[in-house]
Amino acid sequence: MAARILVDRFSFQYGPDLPSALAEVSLDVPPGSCCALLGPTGAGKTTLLHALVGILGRHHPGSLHSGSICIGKRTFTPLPRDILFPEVGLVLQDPYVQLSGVRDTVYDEVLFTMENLGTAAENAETRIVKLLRELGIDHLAFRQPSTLSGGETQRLALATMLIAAPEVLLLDEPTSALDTAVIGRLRQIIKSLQGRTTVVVTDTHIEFPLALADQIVVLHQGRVLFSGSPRDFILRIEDFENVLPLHGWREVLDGLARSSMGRPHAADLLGKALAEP
Amino acid sequence: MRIEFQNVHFAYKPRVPVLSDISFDLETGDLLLILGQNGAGKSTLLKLLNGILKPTGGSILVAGCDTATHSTAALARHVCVTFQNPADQLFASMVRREIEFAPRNLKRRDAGKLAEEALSLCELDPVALRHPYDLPPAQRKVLTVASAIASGSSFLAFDEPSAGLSQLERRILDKVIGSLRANERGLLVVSHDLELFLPYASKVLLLHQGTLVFLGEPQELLRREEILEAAGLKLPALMRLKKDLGIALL
Repeated sequence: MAARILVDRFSFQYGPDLPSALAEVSLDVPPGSCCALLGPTGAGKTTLLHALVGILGRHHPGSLHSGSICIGKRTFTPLPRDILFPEVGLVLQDPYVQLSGVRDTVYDEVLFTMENLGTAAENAETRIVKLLRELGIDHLAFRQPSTLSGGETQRLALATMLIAAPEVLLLDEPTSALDTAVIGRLRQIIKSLQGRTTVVVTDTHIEFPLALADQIVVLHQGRVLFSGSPRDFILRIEDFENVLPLHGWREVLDGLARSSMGRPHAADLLGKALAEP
Repeated sequence: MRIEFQNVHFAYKPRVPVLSDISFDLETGDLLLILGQNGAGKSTLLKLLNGILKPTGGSILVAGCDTATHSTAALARHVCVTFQNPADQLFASMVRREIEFAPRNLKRRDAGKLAEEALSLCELDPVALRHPYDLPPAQRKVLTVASAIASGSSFLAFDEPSAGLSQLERRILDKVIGSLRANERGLLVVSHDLELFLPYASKVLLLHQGTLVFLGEPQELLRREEILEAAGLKLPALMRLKKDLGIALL
């Protein structure tokens, strides 16, 4: 069952002498939908994901915070104090850190999650092989995790989360080490979770989020600059040129606008072009 | 000065080839963009440059030194390789020290100046006294690039230097690559980021399952998109849209 995420005027400071990492951030992600958090490094994207999964509440005792976070039926004021796995799964920005380091094969690493959750008895092999195949890493099942390439490691880290079938899946810049073909595959995987799992994905680029997300949220210096549909984002693209790499996109949008019937029509065309597999 | 790969083969395990029969050469002043799917052998190729890995067949000459018979320390004078994951590489307790390490270690006469220039080119002066691990991941990545530049080596190899960078650091990296090209350094860049690196590339090398399937100019690759597709890659959506609209890509 997918859970709704509701963040209400949530603020966070890592310490009393440090600037606000998040300031009055509000967010509503309907169950089973996909929300993309965009923004430059330091905008607060990772901090927000860490708040949702419980890392912040658990590992930053000296921090200052206010507001509230709801995940499904549970309300945390202001934030979860324990790791919410397996209800909430997070794939870290640096996937190397995520792997256990104590398992010798890719298969065993995924099995490790199931063992920890006590679900390994339920036809583990079939489920793991199916998942590895969906992620395109079944041929690596018997490889040592430390010998994988960057993009392969990313997908293994994702597999260790997906096998737990979380209600909420948080992905921190999942595309940064992936080639275009694998990004396409990841898009299919996230699409296939639609309705079952609520997904929040961060990115510093817009191509992947625009092709995938139901909702775009732009963060800058801990504040929400924009929240709306991908189409509305495209229509206001100039507003974000200082915080996102948009130069080429604007050129394309202007090109489309000239060859069609103005900006709104161009935004539709661009959305359609991006949605192609 | 040049780098020459002659019929290079490499396998981590016998009978499981990772790279097969790779030949190319590169002069200082060139930028070779290395493309390929995840697991195609790109990072392995970079590790062969400075002798971390030795070829299991063929030969690699770096500024005339055969990597099979020269130590990594000796090869480092000519080529500096950065890793995909900054954590594999950073070890000093201060950004400035991290950048000074390579030129001092290589006993470059102008070590201080090299470090200072790299620091300012990569716009890291404001964080020069910070601990590398206190920097956000993207800035840490820029730091690995700065450390390589400071080495003073004629050839620099970067593994996915723009991965995880936001607009701010991309702008810096863009400027840095431009400046390195103008200064006649030889660059090898492994990246999926065609938008950033293709305009700077003098040559593109495309790997597919460990074999070289294309070696040529960027314009030729753009004309023959089917080559990319055969290697399991495609142009990023933005470049495809530009192409459709007749906007210049390079």
